[in-house]
Amino acid sequence: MTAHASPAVLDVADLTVRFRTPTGLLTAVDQLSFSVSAGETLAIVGESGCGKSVTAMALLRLLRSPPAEIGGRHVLFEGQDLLRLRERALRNIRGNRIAMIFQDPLSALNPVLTVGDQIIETLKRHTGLRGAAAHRRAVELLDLVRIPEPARRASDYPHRFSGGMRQRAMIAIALAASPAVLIADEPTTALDVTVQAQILKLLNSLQRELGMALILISHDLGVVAETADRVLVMYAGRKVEERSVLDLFAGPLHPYTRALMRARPRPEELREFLDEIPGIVPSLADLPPGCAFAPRCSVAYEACSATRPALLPSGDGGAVACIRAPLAAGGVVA
Amino acid sequence: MSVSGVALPDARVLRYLGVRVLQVIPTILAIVVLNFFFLRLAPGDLAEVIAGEAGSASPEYMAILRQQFGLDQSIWVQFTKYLTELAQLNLGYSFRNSLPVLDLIVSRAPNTALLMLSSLLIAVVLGVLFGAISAQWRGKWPDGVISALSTVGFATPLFWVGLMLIVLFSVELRWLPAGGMQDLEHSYTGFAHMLDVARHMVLPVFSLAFFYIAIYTRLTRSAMLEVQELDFVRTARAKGLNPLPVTLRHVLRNALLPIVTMTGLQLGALLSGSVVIETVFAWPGMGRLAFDAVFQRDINLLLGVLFFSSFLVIVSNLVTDLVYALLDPRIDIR
Amino acid sequence: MTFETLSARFAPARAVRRPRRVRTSSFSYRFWRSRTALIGTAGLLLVVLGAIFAGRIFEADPLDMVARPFIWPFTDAAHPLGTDMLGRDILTGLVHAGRVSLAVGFSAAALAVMLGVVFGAVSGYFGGWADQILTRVTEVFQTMPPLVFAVVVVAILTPSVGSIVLGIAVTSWPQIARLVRAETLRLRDAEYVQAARVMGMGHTRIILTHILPNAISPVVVAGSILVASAILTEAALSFLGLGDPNLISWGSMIGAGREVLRTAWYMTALPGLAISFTVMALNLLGNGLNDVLNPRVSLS
Repeated sequence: MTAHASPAVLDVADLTVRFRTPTGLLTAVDQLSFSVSAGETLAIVGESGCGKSVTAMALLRLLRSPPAEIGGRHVLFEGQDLLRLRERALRNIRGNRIAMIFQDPLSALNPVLTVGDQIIETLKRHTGLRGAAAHRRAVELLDLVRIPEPARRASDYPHRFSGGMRQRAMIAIALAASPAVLIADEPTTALDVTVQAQILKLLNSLQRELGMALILISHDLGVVAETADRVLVMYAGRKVEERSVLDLFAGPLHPYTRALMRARPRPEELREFLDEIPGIVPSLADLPPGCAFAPRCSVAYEACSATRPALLPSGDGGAVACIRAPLAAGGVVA
Repeated sequence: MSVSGVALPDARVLRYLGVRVLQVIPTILAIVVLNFFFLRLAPGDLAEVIAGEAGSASPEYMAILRQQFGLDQSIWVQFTKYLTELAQLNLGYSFRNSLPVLDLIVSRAPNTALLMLSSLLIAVVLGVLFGAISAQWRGKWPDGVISALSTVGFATPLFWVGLMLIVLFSVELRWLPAGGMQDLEHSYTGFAHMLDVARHMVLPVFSLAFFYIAIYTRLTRSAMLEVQELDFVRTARAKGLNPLPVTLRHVLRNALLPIVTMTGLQLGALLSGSVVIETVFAWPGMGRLAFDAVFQRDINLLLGVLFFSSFLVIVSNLVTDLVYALLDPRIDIR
Repeated sequence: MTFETLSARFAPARAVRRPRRVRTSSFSYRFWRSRTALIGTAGLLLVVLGAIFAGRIFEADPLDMVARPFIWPFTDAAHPLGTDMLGRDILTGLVHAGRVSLAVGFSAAALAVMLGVVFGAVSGYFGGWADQILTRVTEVFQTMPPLVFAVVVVAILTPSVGSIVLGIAVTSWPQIARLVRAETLRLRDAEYVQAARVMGMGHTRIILTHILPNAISPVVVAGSILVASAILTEAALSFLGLGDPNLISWGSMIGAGREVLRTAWYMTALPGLAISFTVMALNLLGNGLNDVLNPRVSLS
């Protein structure tokens, strides 16, 4: 929890991602700023389509361009601005200093290469390891992510692994070059509930062991509550709230965050119906002029649709972008 | 690729093959029935053909001939006889050539195989190369040029390509022979003979390959574009791999799978193509044999070629399935 | 060609989940594609109109000797594409031969589509043993090398327009059948089809009114490409000497020109260019239609 004190390992300022489409430019991520420190877990949360996965891909410039256009003030990492780095130099960082894991581990693994080979590929690219040494290291990595009989499983193809095992293998690939930052894009969404917990536990303990910064992208507040130190809530490509995990769950400030929490199933509170958030995520093509959430917001009034609310400090080290936030925090919770 | 390496127990491969062979028996039987049906449908039976050859024949002589060939017996008796003979690999007798049909076919088959396999090799190598270039530079000028050429390749009759190549390289430039398989004036031996055959092969092989280069180009392009969008390619890029390994190891390896399937399926079309090419270049193969059979009204021989080439297609489909199973680890040979 | 049916066999390679795709520059893509469709249509229209009005524009009988033989193209304004070894005008011949090639191509494709639709729809709709048997039959017909098979059919029935059309159709209907079967299987369990069944509609009517109209667009695409390949096959048959002896087609013009290839190659070159042009127009049209009619499968 003392994460804020240590210097940021990755600092993102005003990251903006646009997609060139037949109907015009779509802004998928709009001036997003955040930073994450070594050993810290930052969760980026929102409904699908809010721009959280695009953000993850944009950090390493993995989006194809065209159609994607990535801009912003900077993405600072180890003294370099990733936004302005040449592609060749960036490739030395990808999979090496910043690694990524993805939502669906089956499709994220190459079906015709063995799991061992896919780990060795990263080792060969970023470390001096070759041949038998690389193979040994691959087996060690599989062992590190708690895959039983790692030596034997290294020569198996991905389709022979269960869903959870595949995600472990993905993590092993990501950790191969000991990255400083791990970006996990919905790492448990495609997995069974029981397996989800194991993977999260694994990620947490590995992060502690290796002192990595972890950026966890999720739509699931349950996952976030158990894992994150700090939470960034995104809506329609913008940051609407950023708080420490304890503060956020103790008192969400943005109406959207509150709505997300009400929409979350909680076992301790047996309810017949979950509260759905009314309406749908607005199309990025025609965002309302003011607050993007206003049309779905239960506490919105005219001013909300007039101007876009600025992101203001919330007083506890966090920030929120809602003109009704102070009021809402005051206890008007419906 | 240190960890991989396909190791299938021989017994399993054999059993798989056994099952597949059993599955094709009905297909072979159906082709046999069709062949017999065609034989009966052909205008004039064998006796008439032979009598016509002799110039004139008395009805008595015809009757004797019919009796001799069993043509006076019921259709079922004839069919049973036809089946038993086929089972003994007897495809009938070519009265024109005074040789058993099978002997004729077997003596010509290697020449056709030489022509076809060389064309196929060239088509696959060039087609995959062009297709990969096209996919890699999608929408740029190399893609445009290659797509335009493949559109032309798709639309141009093989035999016409052959004739035009003869005009250019044999008639005008006098670089290469216009037909045949070897120089009949000098009977070369050893290496000189091989060189001679190679010189004779150039034009027919490229004429036949022309169309298939276009096919493989398009197939490779579309397969690669499809694979490029898959998640594991994103993983490969997130690993920091350079573009060439991403293309070769990840995109192309997976795009090759449909190409293997295509190769098996194309054998029938390739055999068809070699009929016209062999006719254009007087290449002494099965296609030329079929062409001659048509004009000598040697239906037995023509049907023999049809049956034999269908059989080759079946065998090639089996081989294709096997190769596919070896290349794609997701397919378990049962 | 066999592309549409082949994609069915690619299924194993696609076992991986299709990713949600960011719709990349689909406007320019579509535009380019519709441009191909336009070019294809224009080219085909040119050929078809030429063939239809051949008698009006070129009143001479293509078999008439009109000038001295062996006039090279572009040397005599009266005979812009020259004359052949018998002094017949080549342009007139090309236009008249185009009628035969197009007629054979379209009829063969139409027959193949009819056969394929019937077999495919029955196979896909009823399933069970009917499907088993028809699928097997389709396989048998796909096993025999198409041109060799067509040669056998034409040789046995003796060469004529009818036997050539039949020969080409029996070798190409399986592609359509597989396509229609797959579409029918997809549509068979659709709710509106089930509703029709519950309402007591007969099988034939369901197939005709609910299934085929919805399966038509891939068939149209495959059909237009089938016309192209039928023209190529007809050319090959005629070139091999299995053309209708009473008619001249582009293929038989090439076959005749071949006799004087060494001295007058233009007689071979010109009909070949006519074939390429027509087939290319049809292929472009097919690809264009594919994008207009089913944009979801627009990779090939």
